[in-house]
Amino acid sequence: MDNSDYKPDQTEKKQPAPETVSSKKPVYKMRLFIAGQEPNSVIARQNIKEICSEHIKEKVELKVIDVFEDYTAAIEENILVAPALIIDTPKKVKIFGNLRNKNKVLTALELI
Amino acid sequence: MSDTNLPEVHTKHIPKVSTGIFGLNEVLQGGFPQNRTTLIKGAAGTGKTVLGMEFLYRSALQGESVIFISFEETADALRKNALATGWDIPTLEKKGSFFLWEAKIDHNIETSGEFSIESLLAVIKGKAEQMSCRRILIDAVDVFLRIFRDPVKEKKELYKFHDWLIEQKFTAVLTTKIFNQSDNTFQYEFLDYMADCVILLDRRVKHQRSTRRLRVVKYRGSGFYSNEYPYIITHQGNIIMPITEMKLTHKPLKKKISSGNQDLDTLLGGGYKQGSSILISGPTGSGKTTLAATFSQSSCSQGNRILFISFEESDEAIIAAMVSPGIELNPLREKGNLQFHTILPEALVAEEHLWRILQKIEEFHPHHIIIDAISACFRMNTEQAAFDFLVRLINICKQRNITCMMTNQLESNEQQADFSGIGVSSLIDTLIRLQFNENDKREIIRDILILKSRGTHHSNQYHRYSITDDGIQINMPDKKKGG
Repeated sequence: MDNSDYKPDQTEKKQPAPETVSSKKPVYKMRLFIAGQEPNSVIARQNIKEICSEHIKEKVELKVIDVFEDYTAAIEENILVAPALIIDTPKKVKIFGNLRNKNKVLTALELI
Repeated sequence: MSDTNLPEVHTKHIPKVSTGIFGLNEVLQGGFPQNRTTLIKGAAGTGKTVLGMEFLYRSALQGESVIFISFEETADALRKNALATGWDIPTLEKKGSFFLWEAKIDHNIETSGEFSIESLLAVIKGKAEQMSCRRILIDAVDVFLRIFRDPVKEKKELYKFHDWLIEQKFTAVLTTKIFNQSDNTFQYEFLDYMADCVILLDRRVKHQRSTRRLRVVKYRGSGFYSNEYPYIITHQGNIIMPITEMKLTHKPLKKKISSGNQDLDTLLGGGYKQGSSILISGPTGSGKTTLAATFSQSSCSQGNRILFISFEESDEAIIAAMVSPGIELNPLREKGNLQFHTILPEALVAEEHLWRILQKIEEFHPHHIIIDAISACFRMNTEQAAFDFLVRLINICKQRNITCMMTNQLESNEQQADFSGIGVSSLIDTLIRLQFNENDKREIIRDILILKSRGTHHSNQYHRYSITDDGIQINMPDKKKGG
């Protein structure tokens, strides 16, 4: 994967609360594809933020990609719907949806 | 002024884009609706993808940028299949005018909560802006919709997609599978209401032959031809045969041409007519091919070109058989005036036969064609297919002012109920009947009758004739030769 060096995405600037917490050695790498301020995308961001802070704080690298800002990654990963989460590490898993069912994410992260 | 409540207003003005597909623009009276959606539906294997692919490919060749989103087939398979038809997609991709996205869906994917098609829209929007693209093919949209696993959601998302495509002014072609009647035919019925133009593809097997049919189901704001049209997929792409809808712009018959036999010319009231259709019927051995060969020899010797289509014998066999009645065809073939097209009727379906003959006509520009014999056309497929084939071929010839001479083998003298054999009599200008009879000395005698010959004062009597070393000899009343 080519996302080893983390760059804060543009959507982050609009929101004061940092969504990404990264330590020197992230154990969990994830990318969340969102579609601007579309309601489910807003919910998904909130949900992933909660998952990160509750379970994998300091060990996660999260990249939020607004498909309307950058569609190329969506082509590469065949992301047709938004929101969609790609977990790259520890094991590659794709989860579509607003992540309402947090257990599915935690299962994919091998936390439960 | 995008008020769809007033379709009449747009009837004559709806902008269209060429489909690039042979015959389809005629059926659609111009092409696909511009900046609107067209739906191509059909069962698996009916050729939906290749129809869409040809539209994109031809558009790209014309300098348009195009996007192909494939939800089912792999990009490699699409490129490979296209190349088999001679369409080089990778070169267009390198040029940047063709974007092929293999958007295959992993249906085992995890879901958690709601999602919608925004990412697809974002990709299309981004890519289309980058390429200045306004033409798009969404292949197997039904496969994509299944990602939602909920019929209500599927419908909602598709409407959203459709509205967005129109808002973005895409000329979009969507394809979707339909299932058997017994199955869930109406699963995606709402697609029909949504799209502005709906085309149904069908493939059926009769007598172990597969034939393809295309039908326009609807075209909002435009006229269209609603018949079923046969179509074929050749090495040159899709070929739709809308010939039955072509106007009968046949030119009046004027110029007389010799039959190659002076006496027959007399009986015909001066000869055949250029651009007419001539049918010679008779039982086997009555001299039908001999009459056709007589005409060929005479006409080709005067520098005309004849395409001799034989469904029964090889060119060598015909040439050899005609030596006996003194007709030398080989020199004319060597000179290039006479060209043979020999093929077994069973080898292809009727539409493919027609297409090949049409290509021969385009290449060779014959003055006349000979079809020996139309009775063999039954073996192409069904009776209906044979009839369609002949009607279309006769029309093609009439439009080009090509004389079309056909032979028809009758089982016996008694088979007179339908002289034209396959019910094409109304299209026939000259009808010649050959028959055997037995005289009181128990000898076989042959009779020829001009049953009809439009626009001429032809003979309406039976005349004896014989096939001699010097061709066909007709016993004319004033000659009093034998009897």
